[in-house]
Amino acid sequence: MSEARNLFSVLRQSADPETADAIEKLVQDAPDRALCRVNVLDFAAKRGLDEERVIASFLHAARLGIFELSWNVLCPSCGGVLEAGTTLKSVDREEYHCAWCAAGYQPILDEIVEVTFTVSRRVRRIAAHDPNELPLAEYFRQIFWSSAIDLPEDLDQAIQEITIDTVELPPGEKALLSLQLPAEFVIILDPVTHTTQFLDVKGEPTRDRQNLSLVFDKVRAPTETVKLHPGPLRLSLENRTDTRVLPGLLIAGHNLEELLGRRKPFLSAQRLLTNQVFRDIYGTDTIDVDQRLKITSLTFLFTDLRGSTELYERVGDLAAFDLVRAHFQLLNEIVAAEAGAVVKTSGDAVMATFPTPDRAVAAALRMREAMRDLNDARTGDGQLLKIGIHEGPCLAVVLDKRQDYFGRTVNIAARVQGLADSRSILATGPVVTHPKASNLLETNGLNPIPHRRALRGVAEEMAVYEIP
Amino acid sequence: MSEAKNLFTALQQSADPGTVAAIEELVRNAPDRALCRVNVLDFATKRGIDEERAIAAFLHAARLGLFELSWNVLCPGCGGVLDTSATLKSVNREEYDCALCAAGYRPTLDEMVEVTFTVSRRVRKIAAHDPHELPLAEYFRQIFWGSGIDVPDDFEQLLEGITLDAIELPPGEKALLSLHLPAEFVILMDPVTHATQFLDVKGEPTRERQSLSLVFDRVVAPTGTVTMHPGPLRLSLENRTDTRVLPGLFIAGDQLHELLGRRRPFLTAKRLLTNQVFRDIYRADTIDVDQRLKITSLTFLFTDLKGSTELYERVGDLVAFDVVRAHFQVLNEIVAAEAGAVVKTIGDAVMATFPTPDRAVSAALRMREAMRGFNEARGDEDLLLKIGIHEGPCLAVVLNDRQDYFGTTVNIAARVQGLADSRSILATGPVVKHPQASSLLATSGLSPVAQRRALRGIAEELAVYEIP
Repeated sequence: MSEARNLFSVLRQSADPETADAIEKLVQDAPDRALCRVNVLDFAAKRGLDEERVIASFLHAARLGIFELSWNVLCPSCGGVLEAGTTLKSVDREEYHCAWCAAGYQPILDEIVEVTFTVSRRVRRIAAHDPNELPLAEYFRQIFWSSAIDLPEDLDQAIQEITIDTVELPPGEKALLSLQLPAEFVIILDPVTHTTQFLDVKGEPTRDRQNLSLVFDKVRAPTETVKLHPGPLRLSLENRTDTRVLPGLLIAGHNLEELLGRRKPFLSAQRLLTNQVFRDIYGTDTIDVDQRLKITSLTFLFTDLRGSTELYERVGDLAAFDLVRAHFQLLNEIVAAEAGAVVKTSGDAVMATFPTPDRAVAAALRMREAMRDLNDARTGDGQLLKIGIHEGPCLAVVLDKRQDYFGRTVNIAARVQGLADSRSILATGPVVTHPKASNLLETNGLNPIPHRRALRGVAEEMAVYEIP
Repeated sequence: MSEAKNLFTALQQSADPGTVAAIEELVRNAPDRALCRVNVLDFATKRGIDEERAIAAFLHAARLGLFELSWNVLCPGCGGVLDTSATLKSVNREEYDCALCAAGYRPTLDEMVEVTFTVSRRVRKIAAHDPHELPLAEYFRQIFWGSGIDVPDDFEQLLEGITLDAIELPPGEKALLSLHLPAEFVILMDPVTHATQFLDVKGEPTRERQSLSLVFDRVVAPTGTVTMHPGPLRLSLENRTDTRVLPGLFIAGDQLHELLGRRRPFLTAKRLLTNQVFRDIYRADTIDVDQRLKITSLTFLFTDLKGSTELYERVGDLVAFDVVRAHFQVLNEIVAAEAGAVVKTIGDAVMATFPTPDRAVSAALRMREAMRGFNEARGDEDLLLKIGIHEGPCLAVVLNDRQDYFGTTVNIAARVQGLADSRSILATGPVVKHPQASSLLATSGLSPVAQRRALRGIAEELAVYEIP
């Protein structure tokens, strides 16, 4: 562990020490399963640590090689992991299919893609580093399900209660199971290949033996439902893959629903993309040039310095540059402190993203204050910030060698900023009506005033709210 | 030479084959001095190669390790190299002094910083890899002067003609020279330390021995002038530096002035910064975060897509993104073909730089044509390019991890673009009055129409020309 010890002392230089201590303790003392696909939001909540600090610390830990990032495509319905990759670049399919839920999903970054952290092999060896040797319950917990499901401590027992039978089938082998089917909806599921078969067992009980066979293959067959009667079943299974499979018959009853119904917040890919530390460490190397990844909700904040052009004329380019850069520095710090990230600057303008509207509104209020102080310190020069905020769906892309965003939402946010006057913050309906943002405004005694404004190029007239 | 052979094979893959063959020929057969600080523009002219191709090929050759880039601060007076370095980052002094010209200069990237290419040691060993073993004439040619001076082949003879005496003084040593001063303006100078002393020899000839002493030190003393009479001089020299020095007495007559007057174009730092291949290879790693380097003249071109916002509304974000990206691709190729570089994209807008106004105007005309073809191919008429061009001084800086430009010129260029209507190209006076740009417009049968327009935030009204 002396190499790990060194890594942690390096980590303390870039991350919050209290959080670094908590992570070191986790790596030293926690059971194996707590180090596989760590849900960092859950880690923060359980220890009463600040979420942003925890995200930053885990990112630095990953940079140092203490942890490995995993980008997992989730089934939003069952919470299972449909695919896991070490980079977002591998999320390249139009649609992901969940065999269990018999449904397809577009990989949307805020709902369907989670980011987890697994301890690195050379820092601590854990059982999940060899997932094909995990027992069934641990395979379900650590590999099959995502970090969004709040699984009980006694998962082993919970699974046993709903399991009719289960078998471990090595590569190339066959098995025959004889069992009694109860009058329930039964799922035959292998968590390794995700192969699923539904058995709708109902009607008159029978004493005749029913037969069913299932082949596990590289190519997943579409999920089907067969109707069977309660009574004896001879199930023949064959594993044609090159890893072991773990097929089992589960009763899809109340117990299973309850097991899957316990959800907890998880770190989404959207939240990570809009994190300043992540942008600083990973830069553009997140998305491939031809990827266009959907995000359902991202909040955009644009700023522009009013009076800066006059400033250049008056004090000259060199002095103006220093002032503009000082203001960028200030805005950068505020954006990072509110869980956001600066996407780019252009002239005196800043484009930033936030995971939720309330963080953007909080940042805008702080920016306005900070600019007042900067102006006071410089006595009299009227550098005022014009701010616009909008929230909505967008595409995460790479443009011009930079991770960027694209779409109507971005255009509207920029146009709204263009309508702003000195000192006013303009925001759209989705921003001011967002519950936390509206709370925040109320707490600050600020009443947004609606105006109907036409936005150039955007068809409809739109309600734009001025935050006084 | 087999390693070099492999490197040239690799170079063939990224650079123009004809140019690569010429460079390979140079490395194989040219005399040593032709491989030290190669002037790429001169190389291209002498061989009838396109300048842009030659620049691109040498940049790729440097990337592969065949050549080493050298950024040399030049004295605009005498064309001597005041400072040399492997990166622009070390050009960090407010002012550079030329002892020979007894003047100080603020570094500007278009006039005072040249970029040359010296063959790498492991590809071919040349005498200048050990500059302190070069004879005097070759030291002047290869090390002292920049590549902007066209040093004649018979330089050694010419130098002899103006030299009263010269000596090589090893570190720590002293020397006494006895010589006869003619009635001329004589320069005593050492090209290694740049230490210089002017001797204004005039008046009545004398037979009495005059004395003068000069110490070569790490700190170069300011250049002074002593008045002397024609007649005998006892010169005592002492070298307190840790390299050899090469002091000589030279007659500052017509021959020297003629020599220094032989100038040729050279590759400036500005031209390299605004080269697309250079930007692609070196990215932001050119300038330090707190460097602000002056450029006297750079041409800025901004474009924006008219009708793109409506396009997003009509066809949706995904399709719109593909269309916008295809249009970026078209513009990128045109910019690179006109010796320019794309600095960044902002939404649907592009900011590009060019070394001279005519290249920007030529690019704008080609962009307008290309968009017509682009719309025809899509069977749509609604994507029109609004283009604005302005030329002037600016600062080269690094902002937001990107090599960027800053200043009033950039602001005006962006504002001029904002005034443009569909299909019109707007340019300012310095652009349309630039001789080559104006003859390009005349050849194309285009007469710019002057308008007086007020630009928001810019004090005076400005004449803006519409290119129909």
